[in-house]
Amino acid sequence: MKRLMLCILLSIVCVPAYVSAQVTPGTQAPAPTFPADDVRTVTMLLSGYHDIAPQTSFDDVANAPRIVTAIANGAHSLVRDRALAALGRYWPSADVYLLYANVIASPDTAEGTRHRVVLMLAESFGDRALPALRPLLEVPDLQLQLTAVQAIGSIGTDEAFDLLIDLSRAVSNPALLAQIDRSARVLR
Amino acid sequence: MHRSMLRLAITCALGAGGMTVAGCGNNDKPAPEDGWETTEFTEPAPPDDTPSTDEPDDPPISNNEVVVTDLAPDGAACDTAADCEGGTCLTGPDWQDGYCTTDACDGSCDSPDSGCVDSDLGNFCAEYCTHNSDCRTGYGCQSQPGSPGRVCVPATGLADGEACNGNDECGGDLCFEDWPDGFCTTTGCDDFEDCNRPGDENNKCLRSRGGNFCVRICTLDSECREGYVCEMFGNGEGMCYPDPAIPFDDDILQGNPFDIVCQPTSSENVTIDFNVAPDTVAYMVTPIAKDGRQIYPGSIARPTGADINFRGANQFQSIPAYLYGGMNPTVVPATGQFSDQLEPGAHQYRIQTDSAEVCHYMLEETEFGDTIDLNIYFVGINGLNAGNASSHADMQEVLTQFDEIWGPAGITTGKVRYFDITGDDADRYSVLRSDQAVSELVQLTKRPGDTLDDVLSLNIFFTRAFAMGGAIGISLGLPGPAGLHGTHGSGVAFTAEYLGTQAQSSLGGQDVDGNVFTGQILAHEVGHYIGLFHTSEDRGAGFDPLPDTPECARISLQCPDIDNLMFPYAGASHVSVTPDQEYVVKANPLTKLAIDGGSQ
Repeated sequence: MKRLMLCILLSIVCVPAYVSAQVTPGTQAPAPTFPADDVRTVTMLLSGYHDIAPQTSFDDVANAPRIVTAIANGAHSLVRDRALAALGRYWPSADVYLLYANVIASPDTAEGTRHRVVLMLAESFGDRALPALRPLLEVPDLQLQLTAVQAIGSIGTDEAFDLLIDLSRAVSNPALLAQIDRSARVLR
Repeated sequence: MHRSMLRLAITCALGAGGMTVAGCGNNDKPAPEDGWETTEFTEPAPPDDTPSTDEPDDPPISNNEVVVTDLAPDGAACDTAADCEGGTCLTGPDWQDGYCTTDACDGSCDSPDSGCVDSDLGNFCAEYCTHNSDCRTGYGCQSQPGSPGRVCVPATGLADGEACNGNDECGGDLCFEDWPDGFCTTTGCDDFEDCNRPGDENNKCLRSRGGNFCVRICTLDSECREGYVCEMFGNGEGMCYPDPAIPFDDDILQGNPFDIVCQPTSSENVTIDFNVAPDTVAYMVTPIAKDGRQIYPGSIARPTGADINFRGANQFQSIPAYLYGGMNPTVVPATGQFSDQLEPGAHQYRIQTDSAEVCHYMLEETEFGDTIDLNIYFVGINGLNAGNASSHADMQEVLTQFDEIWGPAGITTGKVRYFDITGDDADRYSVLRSDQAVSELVQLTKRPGDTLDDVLSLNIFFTRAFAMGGAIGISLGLPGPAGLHGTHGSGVAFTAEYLGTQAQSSLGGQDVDGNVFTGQILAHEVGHYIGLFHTSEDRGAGFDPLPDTPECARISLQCPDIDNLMFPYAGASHVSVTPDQEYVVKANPLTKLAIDGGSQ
């Protein structure tokens, strides 16, 4: 039921592959307790100026995926965006997909976080992300549209390509058209 | 001559070498002794099973009725003209298994399935097709002059992706002559089967908004021809695409308050001559490939005969060219331990490049500086712009934090100018989503004035958000080209999304002031632009060249360099600067000597 409500909330087509996933997005489980040094280490690995640390660095920390998940699900922090990115890049799952969808839809999400997660959704889940990304092509926020165009273009399938071509026929903003030109490409 | 005409001319000329042509056009049909051998069929022989009209029980055949025969249509295989409905069989090395045609067509063919191909050696009908897969082995589906649709013709010519001088040379239908050394392609493709790939070249069809065409697939730059890079598509494969090297416009290279000297190149080994004054304590010499192509720094020959070797001890000084291409700002002495590399007199900077013209400029300083002037650009930030920045509390707190970090090293901000990026540019770059976008953004910078003091200032971009994986800041120099504005290496950019916020450092961590955090990002990125490397990279992948910065082979909380400003991970305590780092920053010409509270 919760998943159904989320789908309605997001106005997305739910992905059949995740229907059976036993997840409860949007709920806050009691914060698990982790050794302070492990949390500090993971926090540092998420604090790169230019990127998050490679996955092998996280492998050195016990429970790193769980700590990253807790940070990603927690309140806004300096490293929450990077925790979200790390989840999709290193440990993608149905739970992460729904977390991403929830973050994108939530009105409380910081603008920069939303942009990052839109791109991470496509990067981590490929064409399975299309149902969640498609509605973003029609939002009134130009910047979010631009990000959605780049995200969908990165998927590189015919369906993604056709979505962008359809959009190009309906818009006139020069920045948006330029982004479509850069993003609407697929190799066959 | 159009490509198809040339191809037919070549094909027919090959007749002397063994090709037998049954109808290579007949209007201007050469005599067989000229290399043409024509077997023309004028009256189809009835097939063996054609009913005889002599039979009384057969219905009469009117002249208007179509006689159904098993003669082969245009484009089909044939041995002799007698096999062909159109009365001509083209044979020879290029016409694999023969090719039925109707020659001497005039704009159209009798068969609705054929198009009339114009050729200077005679027109002929060819089988219509849509894809290469519609054609027999040895034939490709190509556009030909005269024919309203694509037709099957011998798959000769260069494969898609090969260099070309014109359409004539390509097996596909087009040569992109404005791509480096030309690029054969097939336009209007639907998938890889439509691409010209006679040797099973790894070509695919690129669908794009501007139209479909065939490209060469790659996974690495080294798999592409010179002048091309492998532009990745994110799924492990990419296409060979012209190196997007950005040429340096004359507007950027001319009108500067310092001389930029350009010279044509006659080989890939280029020597740049420059002089160092006796009172110079440090200088930056910057070779520039004017067309933006890659530079490979070799060495600087000093007056005493010793070299500064960029493939040896000073290899770290070739990294700017490797990372950013087209130029290699080089500071001498690069660090304190290389102070003996500073010599007055005539020097020679040896580089390798494919660029046709190489420029360079020199900036010398007679005293080490202590002040950095900033040109701060705002890109779509709510409530913060050039008009209110000087009194904006968050902005000023960021600058204060910058000074608090660099102050102990004797370095402060000097003159600060503010600018806005507006209009379509603000739409494009408010949220930075790719390295390419960052590069385009910093090219929007302008010289902030006419004097040397004006241009020796560092461009900083505050953007509304970064959406580039885990990055929160990017420097486009290591070091960047001091004094040069409007290039793809003219500044640093980072996110302003933490301005005015209070956030936990992490799970249950202490609150962090977003302005302080932003000031720390600014200080770190400026450090890169001035020439500082990370003290240690992940997994021991590299260390800076400085003797007094500790090294950490395995990143952890126990790293001895964790509190350094140039540690690759941000943290509230990661703000220290060592004397060797201070030396690097002060040797850079962007760090100037302050005079009366300003800078010179």
